[in-house]
Amino acid sequence: MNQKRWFRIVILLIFLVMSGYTLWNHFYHDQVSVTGIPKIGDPAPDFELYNLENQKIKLSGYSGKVVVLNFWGHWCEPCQQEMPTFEKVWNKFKDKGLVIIGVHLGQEAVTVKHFVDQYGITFPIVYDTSDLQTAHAYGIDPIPDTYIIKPDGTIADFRIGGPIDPDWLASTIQNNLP
Amino acid sequence: MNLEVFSSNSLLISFFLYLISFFGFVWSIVGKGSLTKAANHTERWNRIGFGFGLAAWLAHVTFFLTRWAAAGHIPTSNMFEFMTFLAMMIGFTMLAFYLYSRNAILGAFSTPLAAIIIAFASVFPRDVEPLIPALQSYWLKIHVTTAAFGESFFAIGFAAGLMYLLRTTDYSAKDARSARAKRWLEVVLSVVMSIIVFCVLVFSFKATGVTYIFQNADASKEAVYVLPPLVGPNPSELTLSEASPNSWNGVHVPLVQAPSFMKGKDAARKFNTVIWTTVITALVYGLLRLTVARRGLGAVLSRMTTGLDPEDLDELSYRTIAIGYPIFALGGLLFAMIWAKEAWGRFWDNDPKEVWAAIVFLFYTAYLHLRLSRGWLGAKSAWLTVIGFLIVMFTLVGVNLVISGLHSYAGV
Amino acid sequence: MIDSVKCECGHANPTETVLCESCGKPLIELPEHELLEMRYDGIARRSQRTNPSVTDRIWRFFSSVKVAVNLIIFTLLLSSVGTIFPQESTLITIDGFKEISPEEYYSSTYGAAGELYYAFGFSHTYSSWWLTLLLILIGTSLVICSLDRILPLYRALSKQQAKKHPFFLRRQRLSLNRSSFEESWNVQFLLAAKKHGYKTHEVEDAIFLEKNRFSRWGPYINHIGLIVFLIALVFRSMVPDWTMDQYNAFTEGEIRQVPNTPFYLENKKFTLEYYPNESIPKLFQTDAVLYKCTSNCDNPNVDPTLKELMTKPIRVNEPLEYDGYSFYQYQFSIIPPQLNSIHVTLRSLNLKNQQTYGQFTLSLKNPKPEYTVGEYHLTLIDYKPDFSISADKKPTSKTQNANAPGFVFQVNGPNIPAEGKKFMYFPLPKDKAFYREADLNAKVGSPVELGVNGMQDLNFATAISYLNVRTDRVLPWIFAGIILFLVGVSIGLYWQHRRVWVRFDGSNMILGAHTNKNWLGFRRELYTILIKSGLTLDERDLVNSIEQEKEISNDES
Repeated sequence: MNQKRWFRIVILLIFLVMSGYTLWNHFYHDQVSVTGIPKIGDPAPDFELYNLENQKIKLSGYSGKVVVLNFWGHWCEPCQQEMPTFEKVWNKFKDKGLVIIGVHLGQEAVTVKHFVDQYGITFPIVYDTSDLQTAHAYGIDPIPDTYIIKPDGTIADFRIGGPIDPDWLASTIQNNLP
Repeated sequence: MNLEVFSSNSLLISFFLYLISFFGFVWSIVGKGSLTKAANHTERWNRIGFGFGLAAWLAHVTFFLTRWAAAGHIPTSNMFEFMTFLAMMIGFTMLAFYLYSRNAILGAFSTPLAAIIIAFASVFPRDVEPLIPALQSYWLKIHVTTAAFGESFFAIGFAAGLMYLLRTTDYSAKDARSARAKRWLEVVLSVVMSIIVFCVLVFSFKATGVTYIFQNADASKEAVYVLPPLVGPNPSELTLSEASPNSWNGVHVPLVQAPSFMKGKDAARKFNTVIWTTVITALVYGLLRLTVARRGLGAVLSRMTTGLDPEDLDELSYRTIAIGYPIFALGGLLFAMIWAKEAWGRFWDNDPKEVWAAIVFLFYTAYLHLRLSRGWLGAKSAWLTVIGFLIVMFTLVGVNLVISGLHSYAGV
Repeated sequence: MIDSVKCECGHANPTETVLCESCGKPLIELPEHELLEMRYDGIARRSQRTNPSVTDRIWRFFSSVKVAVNLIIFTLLLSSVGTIFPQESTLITIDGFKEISPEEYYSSTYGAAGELYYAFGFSHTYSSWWLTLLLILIGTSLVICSLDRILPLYRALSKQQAKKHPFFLRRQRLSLNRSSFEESWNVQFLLAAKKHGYKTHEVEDAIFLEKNRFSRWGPYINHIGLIVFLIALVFRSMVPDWTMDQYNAFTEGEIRQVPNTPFYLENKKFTLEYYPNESIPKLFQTDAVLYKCTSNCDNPNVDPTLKELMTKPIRVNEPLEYDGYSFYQYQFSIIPPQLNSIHVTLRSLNLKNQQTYGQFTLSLKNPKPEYTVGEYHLTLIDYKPDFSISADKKPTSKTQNANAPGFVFQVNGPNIPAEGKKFMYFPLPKDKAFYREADLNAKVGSPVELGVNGMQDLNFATAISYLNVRTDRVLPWIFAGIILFLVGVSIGLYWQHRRVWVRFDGSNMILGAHTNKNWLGFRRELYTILIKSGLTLDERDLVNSIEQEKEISNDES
């Protein structure tokens, strides 16, 4: 009799767990992936991409620093216009805990390298994957886009479009420096 | 005469043979001989009914095979072809069950079903068309034919269920239960009648050769009315073209415009068809009630069923569904899934047609459980077969007309 | 607590058993003029016990067929609601880009009704938590209903006794009572029954015929099939890695990485064919080559090492399948011809006595930085796919597409200074003329230039093929479940468990017969057997008198 009862309890529990999982999956788990695009305060989606020197750059490797992510393309005019601003800010804060990563939406190595030489860019530039996984993770549509990430890895602020306002950039970086 | 024309003529002959077979079966039941219990009357007229039924079916098969030869692919790729195929399967199942049960009444109810479906199928475009890439697969043969074969059993189950209801509903009783049964039987019979009315309307107006064409400004969109447009589309979308007549028997057309929530080029046309069908059905029904069917259509048909054993009908209805259920599940679900996996990459797409096939399956699953485990026999079970067949017909036709989806190439 | 009830035949039955498992005598009071309820042979179902605990109550709830049918009806109604408007999932995203937000789509296409439909979550009915929950409940009901019935049924059927109580026989739906018959009837009867495929059991004063007992297991087999199917579905939704479903664009002539897979796929050529004299398409075909990337994958700095796996024309209904991945022809778009790559020739600038040094292929999508041609070495310094001069007089690219490709090379080789010479190359004649390539190259003193020998050296893309890339590791289990279901259903519906009991009390014989389905067929068969055995009777005589009385009273009312 007791054996039978335990048997029943086990079977019912299995189904209870399955129902519970469904509800949890819907009400908690799915929330993150459905809305997709990260907001201010959300953890910045991590990535690991190649830079022009064929080294892998991982976003989470820079925790403890303020990271400025600039999504750009060699063909985009506002991107070209705002590059000197980033270079200036980079030189000013690079020793105080700032990292700027330019994520190029495309893998045209020759063109990008020439662009970097032409504009004298010294901060790291990485290529997004061929299917633009990183850009999709950040919900990028028009470029440029700039995200400022706090030392704890959450998004401090972002700007869609460009050219960037140098004052906003400098002050946001300064406010978040460790 | 080319093959395609020969094929169409075979179908026409088949249609009339089904009707003759129908009258043969009916005469076997209500003819003078059956009243006087004359020797051999039933047997003779049954043989006549069956003979014509068989001839009709053979003509139907001839239509099917010649069309196959003419088209170069199995003719089950559009609504006309599918519906005629379904009618052919119903014909086959009916003949097989007739041989098993020797019941004229089964023929009397199934032959018109096949004929009505042929007529209804003929409303849809009948051109032989080559196969689009999505249909170029041997699964077209396997999936569609098996599903239609399963559905033909549901059709016979429906015919037997309806006969059971007509046989057991007491038309002289006055209690609330029989009144309700009578009312609902009238509704079901009127729905069947409305399909006949619809076919007759479309064919008679087609025969006049007049069409009413509504177009938008650059004639890129148009809606072609065969029935006179009592209800026209929104003039800001489409207007009556110059070439079309602007009146019908002195009535200015369009009489009114469709309500604003009916968008799309065909919504108003479908609404117009519904209005025509409903109004004429109501007129015909009223006329019948005033003349031959004073106590209702059911009462007339009910008289035909008096000689039948209700339990045999109940059992027959259940047997057909029990046979059809696994066949439908095989063709309508498993084969459908395998093909869907091959063509679209997913075995299940939640496409309306698929969902409705699943609904048909779930409905008959519920039917079997209610019958086998909960003891729903007799009237309850018979009503389920009627509802079930309505769901089948909605899945086959309604989904394509009302909802579109991946199966939309099967539409009009 | 009493766990068993003893019948007068000596058999101990579980409590709440209706008919003795052994002799069939009723153990409780039954109405006189009713047929016996033979469902599950009158055995006690596991859930029907006195003093239920909470577990027992829940168990009993799920073991009810009524509950199961209600769950089925709910599922049916809710899924039909999901077909009113298209589902969100039909708004397909290609390479991750959504064309319109679902919310906007429903309100703009269907107005207020669409907004409500979206708000209530019917726009994703088939992935909603309530439908999933309903399926889990159906699964629970399937498992519990089956467990509850199969063991007791098995027990009852495996210990059937040939000799049944007269009460049991007289209340079967098919029943016959004879007081006189010939001595040899037994032998004739058994012989006839055997010919009809019955297993016969003869004991003193009783005969028992049985056939197709296995059909009783049909419902349980089909339930197991459904459980396999449902479990497969649950795992499918729980382990995302087992399924993949994405749409990717493959431009003609391009080798592209297939995202989230170890593969690269090349669209060599896309073919669109129409039927002669018709506007109906006959063929959509992508000539595809599948590669596996073995190293340097998705590293823009180094060429990936690709190993060719297979070549196949992908058509609708004919996907490319490899290692559990399938590539389906989904869509296509015909585009204005777009340069993919050029087979260029390096030649001397001297027009009068032009010399050629060799050929190489120049990609317009992502050209390589270094080329060796004969004795010359070329370095690609800059490439602008859509060359133009910006406002501040710098060369720039207006877009990412090769609309006006422009190259700057440095050449080293014989008779060229060590620092090399630069030269430009505009493949398209219009650009060549507009930017005066020849003048520029002559001005910087380049000894060489690039050129083509004709149209055959230009490789154009004229179509983009959209492929649907999928994996579904659970699929075999899903189909296995359905096949098991169909086998079970067929066993249960196409065969019937038929039993006949005969009991002799002196010169009196009572026959009772039972089938779980198809009474008409059974009645006819039994009638044939009895006629063969030498009895004279009418088929209607087999109908139980209780039933016949009921029919008569029905007809009179």
